Amino acid sequence: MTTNATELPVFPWHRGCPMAPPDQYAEVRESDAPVRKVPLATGRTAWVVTRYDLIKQVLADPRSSSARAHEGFPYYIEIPEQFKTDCSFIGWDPPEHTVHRRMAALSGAFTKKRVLDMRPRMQEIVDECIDTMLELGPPVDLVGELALKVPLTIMCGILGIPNKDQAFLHSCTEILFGGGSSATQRAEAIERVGRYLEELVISKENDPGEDLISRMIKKYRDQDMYDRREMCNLTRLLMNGGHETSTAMIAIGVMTLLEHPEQLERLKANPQLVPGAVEELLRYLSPGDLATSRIAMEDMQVGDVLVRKGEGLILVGMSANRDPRVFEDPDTFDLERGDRNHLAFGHGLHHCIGSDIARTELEIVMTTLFRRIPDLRLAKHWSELRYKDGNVMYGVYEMPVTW
Amino acid sequence: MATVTYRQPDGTVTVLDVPAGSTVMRGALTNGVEGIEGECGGDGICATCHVYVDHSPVPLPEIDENEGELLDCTSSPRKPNSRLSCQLPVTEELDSLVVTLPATQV
Ligand code: HEM
Ligand code: FES
Repeated sequence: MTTNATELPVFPWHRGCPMAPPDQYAEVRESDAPVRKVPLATGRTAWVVTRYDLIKQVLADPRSSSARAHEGFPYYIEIPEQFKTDCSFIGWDPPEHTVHRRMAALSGAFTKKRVLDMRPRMQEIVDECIDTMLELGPPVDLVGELALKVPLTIMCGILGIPNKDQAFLHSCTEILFGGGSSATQRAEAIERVGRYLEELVISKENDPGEDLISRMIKKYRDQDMYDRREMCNLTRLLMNGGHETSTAMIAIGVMTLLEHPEQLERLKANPQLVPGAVEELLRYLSPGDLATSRIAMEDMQVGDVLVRKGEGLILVGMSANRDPRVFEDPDTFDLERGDRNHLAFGHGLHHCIGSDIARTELEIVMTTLFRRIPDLRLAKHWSELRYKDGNVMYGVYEMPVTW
Repeated sequence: MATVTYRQPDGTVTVLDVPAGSTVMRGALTNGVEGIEGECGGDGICATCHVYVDHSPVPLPEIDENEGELLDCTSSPRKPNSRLSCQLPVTEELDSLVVTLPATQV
């Protein structure tokens, strides 16, 4: 039997390589106890669920709650208190979740057709970033010049954040996600962004534009439901949700393609393979792997385990995405695999609201980057880079490239 | 139980007995009928469960604002008989429902 929690290291477990899951995922998933109680780095314990079918089942089960402010929520790293209470609808359950998610979803930025309308602007943004890379000349940090900038600029455009403020936000983001900063600097940056977003929301209240925040304010006011603080929280959720994840995918996505040169050549020769390649990159890399945690609101059976009311569940998406019961030869990167049923965007009612934005961004970046800089390569081997490992979002701090 | 017919754009037909309490979307997914993605698991947020209703024995539930907006944004064109199949609960009365799947969902 391998059910003893003390045999496993404290969770979160670590990737040995950005392109491979922590060894413990397969070890637990393929054992006779794929739902396992483990100690967390925060001193709590929680159930880690590793099989695709069980993860999907829990994500679709109304008894599993996203209440991030709940005292039993299975945090595995320390999170600022404000992120628990002021997290907007990602941390809520129906009926509140449904009401507010729909307010956002119907304010016209997330559906397929709206994203299609934004495509030309996204292409311009990607081209501008690559122009700058070419002007700077190699070596260039791909994270700073492309992976951070593209999603930030796109999200600013959607939210109606003026161009002149993007440099300020970019510098805060670099402090927050850039890796070279102290805890105090990060706390200050959170504070500054918070104040900025509040001023932004107030300015949209007084002088609405064509942007998402203005449209959401109007929608909430029309229904007599407007609350400034909640609007600030929602804006922050969209900013953060729309940024760090996509940054990670662009950077380690490019890395993965560069590490598979034969497949990359095929991709360059056949740009119509790009949408499928993006799906495979999402499956293979699963950067939001640790973003899906829940708390049981009732006793619930998960596989062989009876999870008790109040216990936490951590649904490791990258393990599901490498489950051999669902994906043949799951640890092989195959850009022509042709599967979209991965859980990189979650599943069920919290399924990523920005998934079409993210997919489109990634498609444009992968097509344009390798067309414009066909000789792109890593200036440092991946093993020499620093990673955000064991964080809610996986990622790389810097990735120098040359050509 | 109700008999639901799913027609593919290429003419292939699958006829299923779907239990009452399920949805037209879930019936297709659990039986491996191609052409419905159901990314959000049936919560009316992803619009990847679009179908065209060719025949219904009884009037279907009204299209609410949410479904209406999502149907405006589907990958294949919206038609007067477009619905999100996760918003169509299966009842005994729905026996002999016929839907056609669109060419694309994403
Ligand atoms: C490749 C990029 C992305 C990945 C891997 C990703 C991943 C995820 C995952 C796994 C969830 C589910 C969380 C849960 O179940 O608790 C989620 C939810 C969410 N994502 Fe994304 N995301 C990405 C891009 C984006 C973008 C571009 C936006 C905004 C424009 C965004 C905004 C959100 C929001 C607001 C939620 C909460 C949805 C809800 O609770 O109903 N994400 N994302
Ligand atoms: S399954 Fe997502 S809207 Fe129907």
